[in-house]
Amino acid sequence: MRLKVIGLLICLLLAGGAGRAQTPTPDPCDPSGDTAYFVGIGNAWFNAGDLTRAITAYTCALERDPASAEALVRRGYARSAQGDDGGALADLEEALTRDPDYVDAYIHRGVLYVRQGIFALAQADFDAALALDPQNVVALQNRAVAYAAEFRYPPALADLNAALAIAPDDPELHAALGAVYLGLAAESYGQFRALAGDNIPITGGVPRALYLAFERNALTGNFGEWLAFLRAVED
Amino acid sequence: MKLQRIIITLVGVCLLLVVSGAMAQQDDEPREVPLICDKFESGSEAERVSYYLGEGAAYFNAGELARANDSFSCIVEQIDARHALGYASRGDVYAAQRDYVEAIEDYGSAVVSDAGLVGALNNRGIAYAALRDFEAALADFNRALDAEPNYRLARVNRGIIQALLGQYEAAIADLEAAISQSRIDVALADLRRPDRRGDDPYPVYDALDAHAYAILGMVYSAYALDNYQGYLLLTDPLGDRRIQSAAGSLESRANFDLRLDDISWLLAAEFIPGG
Repeated sequence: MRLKVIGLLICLLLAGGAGRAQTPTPDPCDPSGDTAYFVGIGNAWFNAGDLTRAITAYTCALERDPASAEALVRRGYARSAQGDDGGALADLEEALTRDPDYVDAYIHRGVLYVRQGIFALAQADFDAALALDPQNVVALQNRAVAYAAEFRYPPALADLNAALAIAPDDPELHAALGAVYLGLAAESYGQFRALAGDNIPITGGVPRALYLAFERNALTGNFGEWLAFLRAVED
Repeated sequence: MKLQRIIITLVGVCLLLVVSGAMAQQDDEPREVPLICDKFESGSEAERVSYYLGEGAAYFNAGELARANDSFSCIVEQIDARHALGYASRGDVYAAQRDYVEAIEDYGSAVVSDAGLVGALNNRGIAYAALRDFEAALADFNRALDAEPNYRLARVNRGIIQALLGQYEAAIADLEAAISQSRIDVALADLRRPDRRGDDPYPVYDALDAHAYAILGMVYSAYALDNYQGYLLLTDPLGDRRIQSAAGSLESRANFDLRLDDISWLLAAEFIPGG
């Protein structure tokens, strides 16, 4: 009986092999797949963290339908995540040429611009997204970040409060709001120090590390601390 | 059709992973969040199905079985309750999760929706075999072969089950038929041709069809062992020592040389599923 059990296991393994024998190494752009199929593959690989395979799948989708704004936006986003800003921008611009009402394309391009420090273009993209979808919480949060990165705290607060009115339980909004208040705190502290002089104690209770990071931003013009508060379009 | 075959034969790797324990993970937890299937919502039903087939195949390939299950569930629970390939694909996921009962149910739904989906019958046969219900497995392989007599995968699997049931001659007949259908015997004869020269063109064949020869060898070994054991039972304790030695050698090989947990068998696997 033991032999039979072992035999079964071995044979099942080999049966798997027999199955493999009938399955050639698939063409990544299997001709039987359509655009939606490859977008599905791309999204799954993206979510699984394999950007290269995701981009390959989106490219297959675009071979099926070069005008697919969905595939262009998703590939642009994946390229952006891979650090290929030029390729990402090209894809997102092509997508918006194909479909000027594609909200996510504006948001992704806006995020790309924020990362590059081109805040005016970023704000314009988030404006466009919000003109199409005024309740879009992600666009509101990202525009707030673009404002805050330029030390424009009042419009940032306005956007975040508008977003919180729509989604009061959204944790990311509260985090971003806290960051804006910290930015305001740094600004106020800077004014205090400018008036009172450098030889002053740090106020007790202030979260010093983050506080100092924002203070450094103010001094150097480095907006890097804000990038953590940018938000991806939810899949 | 090629896509269907790729997805359906995922079960080969399912079982490989299940048995090795390398990647498959039990996931019996009920769904904690509702199934959200909002992709391509404004598209046609066919587009939506296509999207979730692709998504599920890639998640499966990435080892994200719970997500793959969700993708295929979107098809059969929210888009098309009669979608045979959706059920068959989710069956593959359940098989990878070692949930053979659910797998069998899904393969069954697939067959109800599309009686010609022989891959689902084949895979259900394997799931039955994993539950050691060899008679049910045999019945499924029979049905698959009735529907598609040239379906070599089911023929090889039926040979295996027949061997496990002690029906060695029937098993050998199936395996030889599979070899003949694949024409790998022609390639072998060419390679063994005495007048073959070094610069003769190499025959074209799928090397994986050679598995049938390996299985055939194992069946002959099991058949031989069965006969040796019959002889030893009848002559105990006076049986010929050479036969005792040969029987011990065969049993030892089955227990050790061909063990499933020998990593060399896993390294031999080269299956790359779609997605």
